[in-house]
Amino acid sequence: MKFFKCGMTVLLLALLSMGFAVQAQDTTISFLTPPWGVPPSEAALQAFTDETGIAVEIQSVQTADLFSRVQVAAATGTAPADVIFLTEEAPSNVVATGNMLPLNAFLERGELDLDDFEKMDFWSIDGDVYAIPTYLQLVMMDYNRARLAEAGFDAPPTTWGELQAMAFAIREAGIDEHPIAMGAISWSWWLMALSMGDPMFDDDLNPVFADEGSKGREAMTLLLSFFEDELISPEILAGSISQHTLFWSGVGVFHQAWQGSVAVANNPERSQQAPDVEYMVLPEVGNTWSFPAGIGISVDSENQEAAWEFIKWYAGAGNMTDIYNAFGLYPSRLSVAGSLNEAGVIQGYDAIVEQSMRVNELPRYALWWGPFANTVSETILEAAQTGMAADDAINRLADEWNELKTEYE
Amino acid sequence: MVRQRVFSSDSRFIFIVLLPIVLLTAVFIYYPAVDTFQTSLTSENLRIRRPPKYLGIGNYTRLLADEEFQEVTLRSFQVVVLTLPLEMAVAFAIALLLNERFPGRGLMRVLTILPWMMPPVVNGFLWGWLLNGEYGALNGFLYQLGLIREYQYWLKAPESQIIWVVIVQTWTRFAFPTIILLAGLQSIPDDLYHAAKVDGASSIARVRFITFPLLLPSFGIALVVEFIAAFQIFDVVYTLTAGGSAGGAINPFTKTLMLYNYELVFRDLRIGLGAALSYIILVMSLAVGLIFTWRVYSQGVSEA
Repeated sequence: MKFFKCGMTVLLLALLSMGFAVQAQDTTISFLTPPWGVPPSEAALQAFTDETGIAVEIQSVQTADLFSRVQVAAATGTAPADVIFLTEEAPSNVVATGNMLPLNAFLERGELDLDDFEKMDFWSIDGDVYAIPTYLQLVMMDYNRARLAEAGFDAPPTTWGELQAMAFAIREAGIDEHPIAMGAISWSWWLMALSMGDPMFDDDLNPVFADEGSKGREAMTLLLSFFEDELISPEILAGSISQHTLFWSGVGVFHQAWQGSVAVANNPERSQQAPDVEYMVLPEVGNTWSFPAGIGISVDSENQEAAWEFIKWYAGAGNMTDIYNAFGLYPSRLSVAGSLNEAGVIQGYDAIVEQSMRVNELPRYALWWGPFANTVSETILEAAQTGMAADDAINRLADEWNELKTEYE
Repeated sequence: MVRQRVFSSDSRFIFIVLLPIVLLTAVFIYYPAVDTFQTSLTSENLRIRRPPKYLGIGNYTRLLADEEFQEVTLRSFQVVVLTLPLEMAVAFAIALLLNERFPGRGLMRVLTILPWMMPPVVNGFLWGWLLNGEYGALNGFLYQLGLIREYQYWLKAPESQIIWVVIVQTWTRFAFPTIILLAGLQSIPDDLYHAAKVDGASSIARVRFITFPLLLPSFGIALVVEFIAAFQIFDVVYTLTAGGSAGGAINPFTKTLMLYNYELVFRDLRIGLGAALSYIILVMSLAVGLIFTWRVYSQGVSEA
């Protein structure tokens, strides 16, 4: 019996030590991302796992769900995932709410050539860096050159009034009933207001878009008239389809797009507008805003070292090139963008460069930016369906901004 | 003796079997419910990294006075008032048909419950595609039949959005009351119908004076369950008309109580206010559910 007990103890210890050995060798980390953040090359990801012993469990969700997951996990003090992909309203919804780990300690190791990355400052607050940029994004517009030429226009519009006149002419020529593909969303208004030259907010974050006679008011009036005149498809008001899907399905000549969108719009497998889509530099003053994406570590992650290893791989030249080829997302590394441009892969490079010189960033790190952005979209949707006056919509938005600012500051 | 009876082996067995269920219910239902109630008395907002303040019933009074809360409550009742009669009428008609003897009845019964088996989210997306104004199947079908001259934007106007939400909710849910009513129909003795026939009662009179009164308890159960489903509607609205391209935005014209609750808790992170709204929804559901049950049961019993 004594021999049996000793034997069992030795066996148990051996099994336990094997377990520890396996655990030390293989780590599994989780990566929470929207679908376009999933590494496109499974083989490359497997090679990373083989090389480092770090397996990556990918959780692909839509951005709104991503924010919810982060927030629900934060409420319980657990990590929603070890690595989180940051995009769109993440500065307000994820970073400003304290869900990300400052990466300064990792960056000090000098393992990444930070000079090769653009927009490093975008993910920095008070000297703390919360993410490594993975791709650059400017909100842009593109248009179908061939269909515009069919209506008798050789060049894209240089003012918003001209764009409206062209849209009517396109309809009258029977080319397209709904020539403008824009959403009933905040982005449409920001795009038009910034492009007309409205600064939107002053240095103290007061809403100057609501000033008497502002370009913000002018932009809202024009945007609502697009809906009233059905220059934008009424299907957008149903909320069941996006302006991008609509444009790629062949509806629209002018499209609210982004840096890299032309790669999708000119892909005949994904778009009926192919191969005639080009970028247009935004009309008038032509300002836009950017929303670069980044990748960072959850503040509650228990696998921070493994997470950092993955981030280094993810932000590497190979994966960035794969992402550009799969989704048309413009690389944040100067060296990768340069190589792609030299290879002639990047479409509309000159227009992108020209547009990138006209950027007026929106205060997206304000803690209340996320709720405000939703209110803007809902107000536009309501105004477009009820005939609410543009001035009333703007006044409501200014009141909402001031209320939120008071509540959150 | 009493002590012996209380701790008999049967009692011990029942106690042991029930214990895990009681514990699980306590941990996963009652504890969160109590915690949620405590949260509803505070200003907790996950976006603001400050300790929440105790507000007493402040969140409740704020919500009850809030114009948006009143609007979404009214809309939720509007969905209920439009959905329940339509759903019950469809379910009753189909239950009567499925109660008749005809070849393939079993298959028809299976086909009838299929929409119910499909997740509401799938139904919502499916109908979204069917109703699409640019290339939806409904437009194509009606155009081919010559019933419309040009494609319609079925979900464009706020009024039509609510109507379509009601139709899709009815489509998604009608199978459940159908099954309940069918079970009720099968429990009515044939003798009653034979006797009524002998007395010269028409088929309408038989439905009115035999079928309908004896089905009232079944209607009661179906109405309570379907009231709760319609009152707490979420998936269908979210997928059919919630906002589409608008990211986190929610269509103000189809926003119901559950969507408002989702907006407060998960989108805006106003946990305290959202918890208070959850309790208000619970109380309203309970109150209306109890009134329904009491009215229909008492009427059914007195008429039976």
